[in-house]
Amino acid sequence: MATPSTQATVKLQSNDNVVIEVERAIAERSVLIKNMLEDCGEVTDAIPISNVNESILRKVIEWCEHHKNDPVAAENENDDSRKKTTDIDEWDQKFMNVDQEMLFEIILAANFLDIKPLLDTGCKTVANMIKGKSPEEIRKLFNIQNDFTPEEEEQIRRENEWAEDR
Amino acid sequence: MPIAKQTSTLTPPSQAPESGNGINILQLPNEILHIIVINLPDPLSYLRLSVVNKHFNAVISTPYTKRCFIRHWFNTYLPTSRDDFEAPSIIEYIVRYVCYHRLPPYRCRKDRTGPQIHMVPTFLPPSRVEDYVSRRLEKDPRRGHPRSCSMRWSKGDFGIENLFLKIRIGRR
Repeated sequence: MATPSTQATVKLQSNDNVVIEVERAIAERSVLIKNMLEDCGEVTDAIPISNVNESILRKVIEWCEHHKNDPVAAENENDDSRKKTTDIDEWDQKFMNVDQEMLFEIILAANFLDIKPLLDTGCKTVANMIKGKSPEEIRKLFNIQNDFTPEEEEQIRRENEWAEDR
Repeated sequence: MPIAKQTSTLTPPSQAPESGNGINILQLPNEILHIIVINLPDPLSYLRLSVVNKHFNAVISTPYTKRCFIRHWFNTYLPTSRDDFEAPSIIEYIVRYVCYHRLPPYRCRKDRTGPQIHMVPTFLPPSRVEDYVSRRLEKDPRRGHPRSCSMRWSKGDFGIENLFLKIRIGRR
C-alpha cells in the first residue's frame, strides 16, 4: 500500500494525446487508476486513457474534483446497494446538462475508468429523459428506427396494456 | 467490480468519435442499457420501452434485468420511514395488475386529484350478469382472459356512483 503523500499528482493522457495533470486524490476516484497506482507504486509517466478523448476526460476530471470529498461507497457487488433513490443532486444535474452524445461519452468513460457514482448518475439522467415518454417520443428523442411490424407492435402493446393508466 | 466493465473494453474505439457524428444510445453496451432501464422510476416507463424497437425489447425482457428493475423499484419506493408516501405507487400497480387479470369487468384508474385508486367497471349492467356469469363459467372459450367480457354498460342503466368501488389509500 502506497501512502497517500508519496505522489501529489498524476498525469493522464487522453486518446488524442493531451496530457492533463491532476491531483492524485482526484484521479483516484477512478477505481481503474487507483488500482493501477497501487500496483505500480510511483508512476511518473503519463497514464494513457485510451478510450477517452480530451474534452470528455476534462469533463470527468471536473466531476471528480467536485466529488473528491464524497465518501467512497463500500465495495459491494449487489445491486441493492446502489443508491436507493432516483434523485440526482443539483450540481450533478447541471453537470449532466449536455447534449446526448456527450452524455453517452461520459457514461462510457465512467464505465471504462470505473467511477461507479458517475456511471450511476449518468444512467439516471438518461432514465429521467425516458420516463413518462411514449414509445414514439422515445424513438424521436434518441433517433431510433422502429423495426417492428405493426402486428408485432400491437401484440406487445396488448401484453403491456395492464399497466396503462386508463 | 462494475457491472459493465468487461463490455466497455470490448467496445470498439471507432464507436467513440471525437466530435460530429455522435454516438447513438443503441451503441451503448447492453450492460449500460441495463443500468439505465433499472433506474426508470415506474413500470409503465419500463414496459413502454418494449415497443420502441427490438433492441430495447430484448434488453427489458431479459429476466435478470427484470429482476433488478423490480428490486431497485421496491428498494426505492417502499418506505423505510413513516414519512414516506411513495408506497402507494407500488400498491397502485399491484391493484392494476390484479384488476386486469382477475376481475375482467374492472379497470383501474388513478384519481389525479388525490391518493385514491378507482376501480371502474367497464361492464356491469345487472340485466347481463346472468349472461356474463355463464360466459365466464362455461361457454366462453376465452374465459379468464381479460377481454372475455368487453361489453360496455350503457349510461342509462343506473347511476354511475353506485358502481364505483373505491380503494382508499389514506395518507397518515
